[in-house]
Amino acid sequence: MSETYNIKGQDGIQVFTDLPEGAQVTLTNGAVGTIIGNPRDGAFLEVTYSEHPDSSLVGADEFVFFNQVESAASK
Amino acid sequence: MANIVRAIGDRSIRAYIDPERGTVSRELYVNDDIFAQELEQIYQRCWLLLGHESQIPNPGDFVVTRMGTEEVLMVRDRKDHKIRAFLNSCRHRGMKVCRYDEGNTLVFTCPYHAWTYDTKGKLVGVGFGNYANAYTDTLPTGSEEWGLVEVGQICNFYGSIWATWDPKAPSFQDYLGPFAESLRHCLQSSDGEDAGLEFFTPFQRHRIPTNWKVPGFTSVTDLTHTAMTHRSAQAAGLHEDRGTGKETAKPFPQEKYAIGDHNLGHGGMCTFYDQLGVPDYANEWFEPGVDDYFRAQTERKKLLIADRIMPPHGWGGGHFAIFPAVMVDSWRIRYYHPHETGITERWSLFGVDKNAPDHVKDAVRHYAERFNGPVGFFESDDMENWNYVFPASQGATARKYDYFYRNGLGHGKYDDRLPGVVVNGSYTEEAHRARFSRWLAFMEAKSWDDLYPLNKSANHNIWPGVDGQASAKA
Amino acid sequence: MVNVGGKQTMLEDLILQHELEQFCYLEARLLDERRLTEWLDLLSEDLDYWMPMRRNIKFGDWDKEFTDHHKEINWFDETKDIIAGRIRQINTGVHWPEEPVSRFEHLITNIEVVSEDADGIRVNSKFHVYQNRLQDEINQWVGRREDLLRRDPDTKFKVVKRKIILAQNVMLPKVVNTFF
Repeated sequence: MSETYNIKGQDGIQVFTDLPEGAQVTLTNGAVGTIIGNPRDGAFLEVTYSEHPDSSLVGADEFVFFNQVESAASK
Repeated sequence: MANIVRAIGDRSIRAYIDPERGTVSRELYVNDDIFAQELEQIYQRCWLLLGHESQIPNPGDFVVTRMGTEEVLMVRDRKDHKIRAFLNSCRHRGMKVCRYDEGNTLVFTCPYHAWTYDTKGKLVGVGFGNYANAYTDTLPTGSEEWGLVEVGQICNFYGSIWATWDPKAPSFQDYLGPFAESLRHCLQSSDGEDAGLEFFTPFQRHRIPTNWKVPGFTSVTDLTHTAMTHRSAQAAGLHEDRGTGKETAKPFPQEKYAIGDHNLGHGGMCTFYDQLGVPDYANEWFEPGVDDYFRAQTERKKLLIADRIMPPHGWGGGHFAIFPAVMVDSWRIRYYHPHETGITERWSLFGVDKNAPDHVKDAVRHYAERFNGPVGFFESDDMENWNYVFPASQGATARKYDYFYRNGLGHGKYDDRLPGVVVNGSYTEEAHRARFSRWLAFMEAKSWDDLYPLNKSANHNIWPGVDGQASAKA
Repeated sequence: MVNVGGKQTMLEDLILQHELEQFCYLEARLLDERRLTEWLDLLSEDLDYWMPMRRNIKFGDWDKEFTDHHKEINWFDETKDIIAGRIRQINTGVHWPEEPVSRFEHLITNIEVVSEDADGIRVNSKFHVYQNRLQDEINQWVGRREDLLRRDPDTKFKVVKRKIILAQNVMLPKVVNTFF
């Protein structure tokens, strides 16, 4: 059962900062990735893309900024 | 107002050291223009101590350290596990990308515009969406060009980590010259194992309101200060708190000298043994069981070094000074960071055998805590003298009168056991003069080409009278 | 007002609070009046006097802030013997950072009785130590203390444990030549 993380609510900054490795994120550009690292800086997540509008980036790792992250859910 | 060196290669700085009279101008210590030049001519070029690998054992570990006036991140990469060092300043607007003292991290994220760098210093993210959105097409994704500024060279020397901004500097081994074996010896555990020390965390860091060269040049290898400066510690019986001198081991034939390497600027207090092997251990500690440990370690070291002479090493609580401002002995590494002409920050690391039992580590740690720094029995006395040297030398009258650096001038000699190094009595100012020789070379040099190899340096050993060789040049 | 024993009357609490305040003020006065050997007598023989260093930490990393009392380098990690040695040193009259002698003022405030049990009385307080010396040298230390005191027939209380939490990272005064 997948759990949705409320990263946009009042406590969103804490939820975002605590997002665990393995959680799935959907980005504003439609890309989908798995968190492989959370620096806990409240700003970035390191993700591996499983879907991306630019298909050459599928499988690539990238640090994404919080305002690129539309939603997050456990696997 | 003094006429100060204005341009790289300007030799007017030579007017501030008088080798024939054995004097040094106070301008070296109080003049803001000279201070600014030192940051360029010395701190941009020299090998400087960052810290010790035991501070960052795990992938992603970092510690904030310094190179002169600037903060530097010493980082163990989370992927290749190599140690690198970067200026703690964002490439975009110069904000500090890290304001924690130490930790473990994936990235260093600038709190200003969120430029973010990985543990290799590479720019891996920017704020406000992706690169193209945020910076039009001017900043390619993953731009190699805009990573953190990395040091020019870095060296792990038996666990101690050193760096220079200058890619043209000679290797750290060459920079140390004949002192390499002595520094290696300082970083061995008490049974002679290489890189056998670990260092207690964290750095002991404190401010001293004085010029960096007061402690960095003048107070290392300064045997004549102890009796007066540390009168109170001795009068209060605190010099015996480690039990020093309770039992005298059968001494080795040995010679003790103040030494100075005028070519490289290093110096120290040095013991040459005239006998193979390692002398018997002499009791030093009042805590139970600690002497037993060190005696057993010494016996192991005897087996290791039975058939050769130990490398020259410090004596009398003595130390080696590595140019410009590092002081090393068998259990401490201390270094002086300039902040302003009259403000210096001192950082210390205290070492202990990494395999020592807890009761030994406790004893060594307690001794370090109560002996050293602003709280230390001994060093609190140093701070007062180092402090008030500065305002009392700063005035228009005071700065017209040179400092006396003549002790032992004309009495030095070379010694084959440390090639190129001058040995000179035990209480002389030879080590200080060596640092000024090298200081002058750095202040005049256009680049490392003028500083190394040494035979290209026209002005090493400016002080006359070493083996009758007066080499001062106009 | 905390009923520290859970069984005392309000009046007993008030008396205890008053006695502890008087003890703290006596300590401060002895230190300021350079009566260090008399202050030493207020410390128990099994004293544990500790001032950790403090790191710059991330919000929430509270366990990383203070240096480990028994594994890392602290500013103070003292027994009574060591403090006695420091006092002997100051009293030599040739301890240069304290010669000429400084003008110290120890301000102690926020004295809060936390609890009392078989180990003793736990008392928290805050300090502002001001040092003025020579013509214009000023040093200041601000922080708080977490004390364990034990009742004593001669001096009313003795300090058994003192954790000194200093509001500094790099030590800014060149010398720490007083007690807290």
